[in-house]
Amino acid sequence: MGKIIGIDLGTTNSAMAVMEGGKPEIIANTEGNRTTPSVIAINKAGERLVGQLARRQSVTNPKNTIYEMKRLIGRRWEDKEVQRDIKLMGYEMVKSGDGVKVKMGDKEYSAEELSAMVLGKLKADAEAFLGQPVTEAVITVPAYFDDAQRQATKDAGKIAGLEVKRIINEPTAAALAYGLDKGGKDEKIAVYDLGGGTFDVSILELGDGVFEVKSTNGDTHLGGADFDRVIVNYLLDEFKKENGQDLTDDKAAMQRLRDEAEKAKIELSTTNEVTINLPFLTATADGPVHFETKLTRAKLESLVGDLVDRTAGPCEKALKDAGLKASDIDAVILVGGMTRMPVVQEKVQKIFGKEPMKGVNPDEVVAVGAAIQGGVLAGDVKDVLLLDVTPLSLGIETMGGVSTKLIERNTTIPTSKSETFSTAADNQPQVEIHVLQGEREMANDNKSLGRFILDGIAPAPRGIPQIEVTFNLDANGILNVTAKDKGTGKEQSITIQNSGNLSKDEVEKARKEAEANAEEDKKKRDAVDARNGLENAIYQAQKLKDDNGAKLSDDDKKALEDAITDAKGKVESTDKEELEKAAKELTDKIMPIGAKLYEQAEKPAEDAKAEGPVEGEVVEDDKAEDKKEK
Amino acid sequence: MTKEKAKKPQSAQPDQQDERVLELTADLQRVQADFINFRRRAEEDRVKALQTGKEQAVIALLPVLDNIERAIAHEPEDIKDHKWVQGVSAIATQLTSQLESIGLRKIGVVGEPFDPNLHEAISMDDSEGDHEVVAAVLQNGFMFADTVIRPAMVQVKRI
Repeated sequence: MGKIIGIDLGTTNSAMAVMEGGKPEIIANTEGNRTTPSVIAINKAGERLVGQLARRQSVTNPKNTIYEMKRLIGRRWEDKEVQRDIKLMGYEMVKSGDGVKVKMGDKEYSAEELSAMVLGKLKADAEAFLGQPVTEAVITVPAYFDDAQRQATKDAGKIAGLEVKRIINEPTAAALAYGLDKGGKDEKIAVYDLGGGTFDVSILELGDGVFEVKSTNGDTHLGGADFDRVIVNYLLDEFKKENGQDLTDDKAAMQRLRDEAEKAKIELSTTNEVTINLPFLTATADGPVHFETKLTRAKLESLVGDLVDRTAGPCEKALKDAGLKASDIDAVILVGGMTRMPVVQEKVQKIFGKEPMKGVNPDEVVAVGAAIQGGVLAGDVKDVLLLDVTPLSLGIETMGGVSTKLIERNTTIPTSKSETFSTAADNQPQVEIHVLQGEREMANDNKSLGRFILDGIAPAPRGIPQIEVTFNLDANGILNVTAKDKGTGKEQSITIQNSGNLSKDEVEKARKEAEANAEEDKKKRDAVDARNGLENAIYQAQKLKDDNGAKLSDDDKKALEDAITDAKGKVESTDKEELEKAAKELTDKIMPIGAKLYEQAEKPAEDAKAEGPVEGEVVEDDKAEDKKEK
Repeated sequence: MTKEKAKKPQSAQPDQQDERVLELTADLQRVQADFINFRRRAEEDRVKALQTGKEQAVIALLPVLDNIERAIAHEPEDIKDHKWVQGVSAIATQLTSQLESIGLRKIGVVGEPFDPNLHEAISMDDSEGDHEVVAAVLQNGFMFADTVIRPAMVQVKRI
């Protein structure tokens, strides 16, 4: 089944997203960017360029580089917007019937055809990303678009080979991206969209899961480009003050200033001051001229203050047209890269008396909402497909009272996991499987969900039997734990009905406890690991002595016995360092003795651990443990 | 589970059950397809991430490279034979060759045909002709491995 992609066909930039595994995902274009400039061109060779490439060549080819065609789509020649744009645009527009066409190369194109070229690139890039054909899309349009403009946008999709399943309003898409339709209550929402070249504000009313646009307002020629321009002008003035030189005609210097201004603007959203450092910015007869200056957030805000203030009027008008007061608004959403500026966010908060929602990238929020709508239409977004996660980790108790996790918290269910464990003592006849839930390192600190015994394990040295423990957690949170002795094939199991039946508070409490005790728990855990290491070393030493009693010299035997006695005396310690030191001392003493034995014998002695399970992953059995120690 | 699961009522009607089987099979296929695609892309991303990591580090260094080059270009005549100046020049050369050895390549040469894949035009000379070529490189562009990480900032003319 094909995917329905969501497209935010913007005035300056476009973005697209798709639902995957129930989540919206932004689709990067083939250049690797998450947005694509809405620019097209035909160059001298007659090649058509779209996006970044078209933008890069625009100064060489201004007459045949078309941008902001969204301003023309579905418009009539007579419209005052068109009449104004004729003077502003760098390309040639012609009257065609009642409508408008644009000259590019030696042909005339409608705005639909031009938009279709952008859509065509998006379609091809989406196909490359998804690895499958894309034939259906949801496209967003400004809330104020009339029927003709919506139909023209739909036609653009058709020309690009896309069946437009639905045209939705940009503010509605933004509200969908924030899941406002899922709240189950009727809300009034303000969407503040300050993009690259346009400002739009919309008031929406949500009722019965349907969004209604109550009013819209805005400024079609106010956006990020204006902000950048005032910063560049300020920097030009500063440079002139310092050096008495006007950089306006120095193209390279101007470009560096523009790049630096944009960078400073972005950085000042998170810091209070940036240093603008442009060494060798230009040169005079006296030599190179450097430019270094500081720009504070306060200065930036005073520079763009007027621009930000210009958004207040349209917001107030929109509220008035909707017959609402600012206090009636339940939620405020920010769209467009410029809304990342703290001064813009403060302004919005002041206008609507409410902190704007955050969390979705304002450049991508409209495309994300369109993708969610596409997912609903395709049937991707269905409650039955919403999968749960296990809120807390599940595991078993292992040697030394440690909690060994098999299924980590936040694992999506259904899921299953197997791990092989072994015995802690020689000839241990049974193991106890103690099922635990929680994030703490030690078994005692976690919740016990149940326990059972697997017996009938054939006599064998410790570490040799292989006990496979399998956790199977189904979609309803029912946990089945099976332990199987791979040697005898014998198995036992337990089913725990309500492993996941925890309230949010319980989960949160468990998580907080684990966090608060993390350091202490880790110490305990490390000590247990160290003790297990020491016990293993003692076991190896004992085995060496028992297996090779006849071959050992009396001196070596005595040395071994002393070393083992020493080590045993330290096993009860709770200090990790001491335990590790004791284990190392013991190993150091055994090694030369072991080496001698190897030299004596032609064939090397069997290493009992070689084929066994991983060290440390040894099931504890209290009774067996007692037996071993006796 | 932290939330209630919405379950559809089980129906005893055979045809409704058939429908349900079809629906669930479709859901399963969809999830399966999503997963296969996701896995394919995760693998691609893993390979790409390594490259992107290096790229980001190199991109952060580009302004410094630019300025070193500008500084060398503005080397004052009167001290150009000074040993210390020559030493610093040598360090600049060393930096460039080290970066070349890990795959960084300068792009943008005066006289080559203008290509928006490699160049970003910031001005156009008044000139006549059928071919657009690079008239001046105002800032070097760079390729890292096979990717243009920054186009060369160029002035274009027609010949």
